[in-house]
Amino acid sequence: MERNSEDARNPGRERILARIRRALREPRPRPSESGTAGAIFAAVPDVVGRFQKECAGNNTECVVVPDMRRAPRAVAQVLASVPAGEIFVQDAPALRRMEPAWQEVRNVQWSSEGRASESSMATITLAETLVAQTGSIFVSAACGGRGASVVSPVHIVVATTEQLVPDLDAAFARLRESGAAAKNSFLCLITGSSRTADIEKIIVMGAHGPRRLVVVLALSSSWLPLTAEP
Amino acid sequence: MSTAAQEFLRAAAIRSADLRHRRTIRQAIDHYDRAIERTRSRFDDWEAARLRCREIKREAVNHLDRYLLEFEGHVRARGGHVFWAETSAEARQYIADLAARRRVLTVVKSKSMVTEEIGLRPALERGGVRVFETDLGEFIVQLRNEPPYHIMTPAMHLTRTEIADLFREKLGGVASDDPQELTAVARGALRGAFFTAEMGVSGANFLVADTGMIALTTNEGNGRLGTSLPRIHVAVAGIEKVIPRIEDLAMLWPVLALSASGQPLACYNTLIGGPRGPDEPDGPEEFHVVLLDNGRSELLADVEQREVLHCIRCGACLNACPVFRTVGGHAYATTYPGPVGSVLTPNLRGGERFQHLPFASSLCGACTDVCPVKIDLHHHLLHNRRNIVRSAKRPTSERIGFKLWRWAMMSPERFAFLSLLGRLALRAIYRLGLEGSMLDPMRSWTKVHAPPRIPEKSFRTLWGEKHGAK
Amino acid sequence: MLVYAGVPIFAFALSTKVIIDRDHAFENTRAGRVPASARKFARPDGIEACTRAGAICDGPLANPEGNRGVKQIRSFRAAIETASHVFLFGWVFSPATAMTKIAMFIPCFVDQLYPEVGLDMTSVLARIGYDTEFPVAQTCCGQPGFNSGYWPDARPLAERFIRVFGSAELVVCPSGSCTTMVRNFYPELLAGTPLREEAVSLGRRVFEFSEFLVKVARVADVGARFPHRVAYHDACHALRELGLKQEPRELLRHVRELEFVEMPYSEECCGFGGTFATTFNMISSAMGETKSGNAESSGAEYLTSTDPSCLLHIDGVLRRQKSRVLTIHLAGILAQTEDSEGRARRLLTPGRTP
Repeated sequence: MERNSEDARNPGRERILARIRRALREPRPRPSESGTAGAIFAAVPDVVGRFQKECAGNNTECVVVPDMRRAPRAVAQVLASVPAGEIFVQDAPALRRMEPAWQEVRNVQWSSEGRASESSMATITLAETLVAQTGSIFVSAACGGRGASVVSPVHIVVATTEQLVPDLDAAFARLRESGAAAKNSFLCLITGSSRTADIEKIIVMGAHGPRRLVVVLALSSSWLPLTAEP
Repeated sequence: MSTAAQEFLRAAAIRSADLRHRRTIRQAIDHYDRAIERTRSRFDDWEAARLRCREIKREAVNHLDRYLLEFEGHVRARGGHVFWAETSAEARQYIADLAARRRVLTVVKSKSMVTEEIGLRPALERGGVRVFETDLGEFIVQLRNEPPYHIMTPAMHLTRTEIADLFREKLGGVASDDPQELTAVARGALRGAFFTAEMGVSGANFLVADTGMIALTTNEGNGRLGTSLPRIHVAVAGIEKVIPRIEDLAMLWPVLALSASGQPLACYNTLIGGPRGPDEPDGPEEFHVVLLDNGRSELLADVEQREVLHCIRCGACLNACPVFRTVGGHAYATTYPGPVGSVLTPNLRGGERFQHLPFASSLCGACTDVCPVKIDLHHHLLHNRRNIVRSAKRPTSERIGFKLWRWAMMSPERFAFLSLLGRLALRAIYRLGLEGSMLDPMRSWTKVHAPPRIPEKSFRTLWGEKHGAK
Repeated sequence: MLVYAGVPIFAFALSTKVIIDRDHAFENTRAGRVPASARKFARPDGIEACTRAGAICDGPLANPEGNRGVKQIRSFRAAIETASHVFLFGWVFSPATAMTKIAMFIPCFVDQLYPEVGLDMTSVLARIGYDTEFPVAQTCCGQPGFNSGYWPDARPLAERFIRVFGSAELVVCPSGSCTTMVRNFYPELLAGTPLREEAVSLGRRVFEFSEFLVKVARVADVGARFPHRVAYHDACHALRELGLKQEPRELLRHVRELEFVEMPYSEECCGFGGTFATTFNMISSAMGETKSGNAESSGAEYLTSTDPSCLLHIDGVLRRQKSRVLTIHLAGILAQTEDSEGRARRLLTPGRTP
């Protein structure tokens, strides 16, 4: 019903569609050269090594820990260098269990209590999946919301190598599998920390987003299964 | 010649003589070229990547109705609104009305060429809305009250010193011209706006049909703040931006990042589908997508040039174009400057106003070489020229000139005789030092060149002398 | 590459006959049956006077003995066979037949403004054993009209060109741009007319000069000597429409005593662009200044290219700026011969230096 009324207020819709259909009546011949079957990107054999290397190249700090039990200390170490102030943390069981690592020194706002505030000094979230080939992190609205990974000057991601896939194709396959695109109103592939090259095409780090992006990568998830939902 | 053409000539002549401009642009593009070279080596087969991207866009553009409807269906299912605008005016009106209805006082915009195309900012400002351009480059040109110079790098024409002076004048408190500090100043100036704005406006790099999401690529994070914090998000996109599947982005994102800025991937590749979900901690309450036609369906009907709708607006052809680098982005006086602009604009905006643009090219083909979706840009310039001549929009003198040329060239005797006369006349004129004067038929050449040495005998004469007997 | 298409089988069938002909042809050369043009013109001096673009000269600068070292006589058919051998069996050897004349396509402005380019081309071709002819009925290929959008005016000229050159086995042109017009644009210009197929077939037989030498005749060393520092400007049509990047460089590297320098931004357009140079002369000349500045910074004494139209433009800008850099067409360099040691050498592997 609502749809019909919306369409009624938008007479251009039918006219545009009619013009498109009329235009497409004459097909465009296929171009002579077609795609080659060969690989566009080389395969990524060592995903952990490649992820670390790419992070080094795109200004992401990658802290590798043997398992999730060591993750809280690594997070605490990062937080130690962050100026005093509130932090914003995704409300997930894995991160709830890490609470002792920061509860004495930080005022924590959990994502279940509302959106990340303007004044938070750091945010801690999980990720949907990590991409080795480009050193990227896929986050979704489930990872503390849209603002969590962008409003504060430091973004700390806690992840395990089980979430690490070789390339973007594999990452999209994972998302397809988990239904992340359908479940979330927001997905973001983050590669490095916020930057701009708008002045003389010189790259400057730390524009509107976080200046520091830290990934605490556990080689084993032993401790707790990592899921975004409680 | 139309007034727009004269304006172009005047602006182009000024910029062409501006050596400082030329140096600034050269330097910026050298930075870009080096980054491209570094990053392209990450592709095992760049050519295959281009072909794959073209294939994706070809599939989408040639089934545009189907994919747009699929996209629309998904956006609506997610609780978003889709508005189809036939013209710029309709798109502007829809957004301005929405802003008025929702009592919007402040809008944060992320960089989007299509909002430049529809003239959104002035329309909102007329309604009393404060509009902040939040992309650093856009922010700079907004402060200077001028349009973007380049579709990817809006302030490419400015040096850091000029930007520092601008900030000092408009914002104050700028100590150095270090790009790092200038960026921090802009960040500080815009921070408040993000948290108070009621509406965020963005473009869309792609519209993903099978998930009903818009894909937005930014480096700075401004596009993310502007689509997360305000309570309304409006995305404006041309109808040609739709792609079939979310998986297509696995190829389009790296290719766009490389061509736009020489990066393996941009910092933030965001997908947004609808308003904030029920379990989500933040996000806008309303999500609107404005699909803009504005001449695109006409271009779609032109089978020869349909592929121009494959353009992903990366700006690579601008960087590669020696004419763009010489005359600069502003001389074009179009939303989309450079090669793709010269192909698109006469088609999208019709009329006579931009008919000079396809002629303002040396047809060197550098644009076609770099286009990541393999649009045959320089040949489309030729097609545009043919179409413009066909529709009788060129000056009569030129039309007669080419008729005479054809007449002369249809006979070797006429050609030999007339060119002999020409050579004799030019030799006399140049010997008398009258080059560039009213007597010189080549004066538009000799105005900027030393006069050519005119030989006494043509090749055919010399050949005839040696082989006369045969 | 186009030229190789469709002929290997036919060529292979012919090859047995051809091999028998070869020795006979070789004898012809030694007996002095070489093109008259190659013998007649001689001018060992005055390179400077001649190459300050556009200066008239009496003839090209071929050495009178220039043809002495020629070892092979080749023809188009042989070239195709060579290609087919390379294609099918790897390099075997090159059979040759009796002399086939090359029809020279001399663009209208070369005819009128750069006659020496045509003569130089003739002498180089003669030196490596090709006889040339000049179909006097030729005028203009139609490119100015085509590029300016006047396709109905360009079309009769294209049809005329096909009539004039239609019977030629092999056409060679000292301009990448005009070659492009015939090979790449005639099929489009003549689409839907009866001549389209002929245009496609003619396009396979038309070659830019450096392309012909390296890809068809398979000669990289034409026995030239040019004791100067030279930079090469990549003319747009040769580079991007015909895909010629290494061919002219290959030829330059084999010129004795020539010091080749790469100029910065060699692939950037010089700004000529046909009528663009007059309609938008301010833009065109600014682009020309960028190019000439890059030529200067390379330290070259000469700037060469495969396209006389680029050179006409760059030269006009250089001389206006009183630059010391001179321009010379590639054929002009290749026409300058060495002493009696000068020999033409064959490439051993496709596209590589021996």
